[in-house]
Amino acid sequence: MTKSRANPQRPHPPGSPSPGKPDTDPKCPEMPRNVRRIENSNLSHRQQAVLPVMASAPSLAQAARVSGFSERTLRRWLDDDDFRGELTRLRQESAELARLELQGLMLRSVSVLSQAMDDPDKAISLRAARYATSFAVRVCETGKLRKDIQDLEDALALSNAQHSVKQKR
Amino acid sequence: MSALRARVRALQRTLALELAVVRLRRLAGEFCLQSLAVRAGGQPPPQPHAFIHRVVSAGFRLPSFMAVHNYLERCLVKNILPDREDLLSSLIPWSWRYPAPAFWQG
Repeated sequence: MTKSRANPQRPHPPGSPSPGKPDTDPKCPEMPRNVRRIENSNLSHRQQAVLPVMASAPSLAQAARVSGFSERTLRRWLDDDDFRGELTRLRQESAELARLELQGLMLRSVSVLSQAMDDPDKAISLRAARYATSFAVRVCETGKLRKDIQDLEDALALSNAQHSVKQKR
Repeated sequence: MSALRARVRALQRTLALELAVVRLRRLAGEFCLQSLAVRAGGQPPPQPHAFIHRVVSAGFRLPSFMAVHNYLERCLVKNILPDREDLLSSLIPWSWRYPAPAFWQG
């Protein structure tokens, strides 16, 4: 008796067609969307489906639990260079999204800090002032560091230009 | 963060000459652009000491300030716009060793 590979409890992976409803590309309705995606990539459909889950899960065990694949399978796929590369790319995209979200929250947190600084309780206002000062110092330092690195990049380009001129002579 | 800052300082020491050229060329370019804008607006041109003050504010103490002053005075008398590379070479005469990359030329 062969064991069925289909898992009825496995959640519907994002990006894959829902059961009973073919997912087609609007530009090419006769061709299922996933067929094209698989053709463009070296990853299988199952690997592509599990990628977003793995990119967002905090651990491999949790990714295995959510996706319905075994942890061993995920480990085996992680040995694949294409899979690992795609996962790294997805994780970088997620990190960039999180960074943008945090930047959006910064103004709000500063306004909360300024409200806390007006608190009648001296301990709370002092603590808020201390946080605000240390935060401001760090922001200034980061800005200066960014400017210094930009200058260093320009200096390095200038040094390379000088070397190439010397070589031509 | 402190490790990163230490690494940046080490690189700044290694590329000190190039950094000086980059920063002074930027200051000279800004001054030339300002001179151009002021002339287009029909206002009096910026005085030489304004540029020297900017260079000093950027942390440079150079023995060539008199030469820069003379060059800018000459530009004022002849009523011509100062040139960025001429200004740079009067500030640091050894800057000819460092060619201006194509993307910096305004």
